[in-house]
Amino acid sequence: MKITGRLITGGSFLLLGLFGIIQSLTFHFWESIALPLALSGVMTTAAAIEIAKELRHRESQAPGSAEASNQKKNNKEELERLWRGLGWVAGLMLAIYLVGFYITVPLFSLTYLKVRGRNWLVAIIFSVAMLVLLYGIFELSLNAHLFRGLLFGAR
Amino acid sequence: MTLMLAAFAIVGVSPGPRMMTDNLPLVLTILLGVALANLIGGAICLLAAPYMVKLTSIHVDFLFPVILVMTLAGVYVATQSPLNFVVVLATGILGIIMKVYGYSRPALILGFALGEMFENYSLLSIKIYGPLFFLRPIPIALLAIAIIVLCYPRLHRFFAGWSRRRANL
Repeated sequence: MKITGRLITGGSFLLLGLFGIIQSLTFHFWESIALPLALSGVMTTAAAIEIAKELRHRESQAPGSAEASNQKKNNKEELERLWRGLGWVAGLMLAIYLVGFYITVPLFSLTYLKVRGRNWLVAIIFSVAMLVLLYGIFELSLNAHLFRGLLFGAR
Repeated sequence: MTLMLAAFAIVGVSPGPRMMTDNLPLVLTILLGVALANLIGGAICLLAAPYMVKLTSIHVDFLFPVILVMTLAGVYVATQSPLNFVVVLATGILGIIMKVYGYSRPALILGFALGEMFENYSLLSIKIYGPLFFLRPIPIALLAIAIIVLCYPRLHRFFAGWSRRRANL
C-alpha cells in the first residue's frame, strides 16, 4: 500500500489526538481532564474518519484512471509552486538574520523580480521604493528599529 | 471577524455581552470608528473608484515581496526577536499542508484566537454547573445550532434527492 501525503497528515492528526487523550488522563482533577479529553477525542475521531475516507477513496479510484493521473499532476504542480514560494520566504528570513532588513529587502526585491522576468528598470525602482517604504513606515513613522543583522553586530 | 477577535484577545478584551459594561468606551470608539470609516470610505469610493479598481490588477510578483517583508518586519517589531521568523516559517509550512490537503485555515486561526477563552470559560462552567453544564437550555440551543449548521449540506442533499425521487414517482 502506497503511503500518501493525505494519509501522513491524517496519521499525524491521529497521533496528536491520541497524545492529547493520554496527556489529559495524567491530570489529577477531573475538571482539568474533561475538556482536553473531549477535544482530543473529537480530534482523534475526525482524524480516523479522514484516514478511513482516504482509504475508501483510493479503493474506489482505479490507479491508472485519467481522473486520478490528472488530479495527481495538478496537485504536484500546485505543491511545487507552494514549495518554491516557501523557499523564497526561507531565503529572505535567513538573509535578514545575517545582514538585516535594510540590505536584504532591496536585494531580495531585485532578485525576485529579475527571476520572475521583469526588466532591470522596474526591478530597481521597485527595490528602492521598498527600501524607502520600509524605512519610512518603521523608522520614521513608528520609530521602531528593524533588525540590523548578525554580521553587523545585532543580537 | 477572526482577525478582530484575535486582536481583542491579544489586548486582553473579552468579546461578548460583558464588553458593553466592562469596555464601554472601547465599544463606543469602535462604533464611532466604523461609522466614520463608512462615511470617509463612501466619499473616497465615489471619487476614486475608477482609479482604485486598478489596484486589483497589481501583479502577484509585486504583491509577494511587499506582503512578505511587511509580515516579517511586523513580527520583528512586535517581538524584537528575529528567531520568531522560525515560527512564521513553521506556520507557513503548516498552512501549505492544510491548503494542499483541504483543511480549513480560518478554523485554525479562530481556534487559536479563541482557544484560551474557550478553555477558561469551559472550566468555569464545569466548576459552576458540573460536568453536564451543556445540558442547560442555552448550551443545548447553541449546540443544536452548531449541529444543524454542520449537517446542513448533507441534509440539503438528502432532501433534494428525496424530493426528486418523489417527483419522479
